[in-house]
Amino acid sequence: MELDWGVVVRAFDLLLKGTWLTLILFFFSMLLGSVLGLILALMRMSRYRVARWLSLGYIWLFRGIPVLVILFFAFFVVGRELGLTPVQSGILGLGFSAAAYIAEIIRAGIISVDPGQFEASESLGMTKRHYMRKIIIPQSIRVIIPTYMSNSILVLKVTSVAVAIGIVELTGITRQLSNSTTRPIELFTAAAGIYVILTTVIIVAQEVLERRFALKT
Amino acid sequence: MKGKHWPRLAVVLIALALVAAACGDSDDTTTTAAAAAATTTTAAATTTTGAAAATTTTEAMAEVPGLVEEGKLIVVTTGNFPPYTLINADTGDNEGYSIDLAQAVADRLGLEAEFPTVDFVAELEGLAQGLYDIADSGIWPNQARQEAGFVFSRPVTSTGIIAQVVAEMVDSEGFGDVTGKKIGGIQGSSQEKLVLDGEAEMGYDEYLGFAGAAEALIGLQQGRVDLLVFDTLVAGYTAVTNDEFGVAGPTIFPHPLSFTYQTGNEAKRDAIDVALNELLADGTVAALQIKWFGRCIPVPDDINQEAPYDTMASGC
Repeated sequence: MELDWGVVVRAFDLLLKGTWLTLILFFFSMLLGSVLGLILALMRMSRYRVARWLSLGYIWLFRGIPVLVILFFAFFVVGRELGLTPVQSGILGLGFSAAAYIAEIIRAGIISVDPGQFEASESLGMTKRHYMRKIIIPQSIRVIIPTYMSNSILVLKVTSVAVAIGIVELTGITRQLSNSTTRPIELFTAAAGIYVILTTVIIVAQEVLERRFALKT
Repeated sequence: MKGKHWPRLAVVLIALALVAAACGDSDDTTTTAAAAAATTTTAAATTTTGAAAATTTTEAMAEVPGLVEEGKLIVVTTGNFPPYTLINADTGDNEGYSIDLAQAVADRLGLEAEFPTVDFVAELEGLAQGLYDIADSGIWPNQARQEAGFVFSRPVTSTGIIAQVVAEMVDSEGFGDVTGKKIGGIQGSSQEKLVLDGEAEMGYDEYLGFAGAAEALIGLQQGRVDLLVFDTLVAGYTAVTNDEFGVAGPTIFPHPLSFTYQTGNEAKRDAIDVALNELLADGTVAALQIKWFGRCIPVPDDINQEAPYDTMASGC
C-alpha cells in the first residue's frame, strides 16, 4: 500500500479548522459539565432528601444513556424546541453527559476526606460553607484532579460523536476528506496525531495541577 | 467572591458558553452559496422549454410552498458520498453533482441555497423533523422509503450497484459470482440491505458493515473483505481518483436517484420538479453529469420506472 502524505498537507487548514471546532466543543461542554457537576455533587450530599434524589436520578439517567443518543435528543428534541444550532446542541448534550460523571468525581473527592475533619471543623464553630472552602475542598482537590483530568480526555475524544448531528469537528472533517480524497489511512493518522497532541496538553496540565496542590512536606 | 454569587455565575457561564458557541456555527457546519440577484432576474425571464415541464419557473418561484425558511432552500447532505457530495480538500467547500444540481435549482427559483452536512441517519431524521427542505446524498427512492412516507422528486439521475475492488482484482467477476467471498458495505445503506436480503441466492461467505465509505475502503485495502457493495458512480469516482482501487463485474440493480422531501411536501416537490425539468431540458443536467461522472447517465422519467432506462438529459 502506497501512502500519499501530500493529502495531509493539502488538507491541513481544514484539519485545523476541525480541531478548532473540537476545542470549542470540548471547552464549553467541560465548562457546562463542571458547573452542573458541582451543583449535582453538592445536591447529592445535601441534607434535603429531594435534592439527593434529584441528583441521583440525573446521574443514573445520564450515565445510562449513550452520548450519541443524548446528542440526538439535544439536537432533535431540545435543540429544535429552543431553536439551538448544532454546535449549541452539541455543547448541551456533551455538557449534560459530562456533568453526571463530574458530579461523581467531585463527590468521591469530598467523601475521601476523613469524616473526623468535618466534625473537628464544626466543633471549632466554623460554618459549613467556611470549612468546605478552607478545609475540605483543598484536600479533596488532590483526589479529584487525576480522575477529573482523565474524564476530560474522554470528553475531548467523545466530541468526535458530534459529527452525527452535523458538527464537522476533527473526526467529521477527517471522514469527509477521507471520502473525497480516498486517502483514509493518511488522514486518520494525521487526526490521531492531533488528538494525541491535544490530550498531551491535558496530561501536562494535570501534572502541573497535581504539583500545585501536592502536600508540602 | 461570596457564595451567593455562584448560582448567578453558573447561569452567566452557561449562557456565555451557548452564545459563544453560536459564533461561527453556520460557517463551520454549512456551506452557503448566495443566489445572485442577476440569477433571479434571469430565472424570472425563463420560460419552460422542456416538454415535461408544465409551467414557467417564474410561476414556480411564487409557488414554492412550505420552505423551512423563507427565501432559502436548505439542502442537507452527508458531504461524504462523492461524486454526489464531497468536501474539497483544498477549499473545504461542499461540492458534487447533488450540490451543483441543488444550487442550479435554487438559482432558477431565486432562492438562497444552504448545504448543511450531517450523518446519513440524522439526514433523514432531520428531514422528518422539518429542519431541512431536501435531503440529497444520492438517495435511492426505493419501495421501503416510499412506504415510510418520504416524498421523492422526479429522478435526477440513475445509478446501480457494482463491486469496488482493489486494482489487482479488476478482472474478477464482481457481483457476477460472489460465492465464498467476503463482502463489505456501508452500514444502513440500501446496498447493504440488498446484499443481506440476498444472502441465500448470492452464496457469499460473510458480510461486514462499515461505518462509512472511508472505513470500508480501508477494510478493502487491508484485505478484510474481498469486495465492497457500492453505488456504481461512487465506485467509479474512487477508481478514478485512487489507482489502488477499481471496479469489477456487472452493474446490478439499476435504479433512479431523487431529491427526498418530508412527508406531506408534495406541493414543494412539484414546484421544484418544474425547475428540475427545465434543467434537464436546457442542458444543465447533461453538463453536470459530464462534469461529475465524466459521461451522460440515463435519467428515468419516474421513480418507479423499471430498468433499462433510455431517457437521456437534453444535450447528451
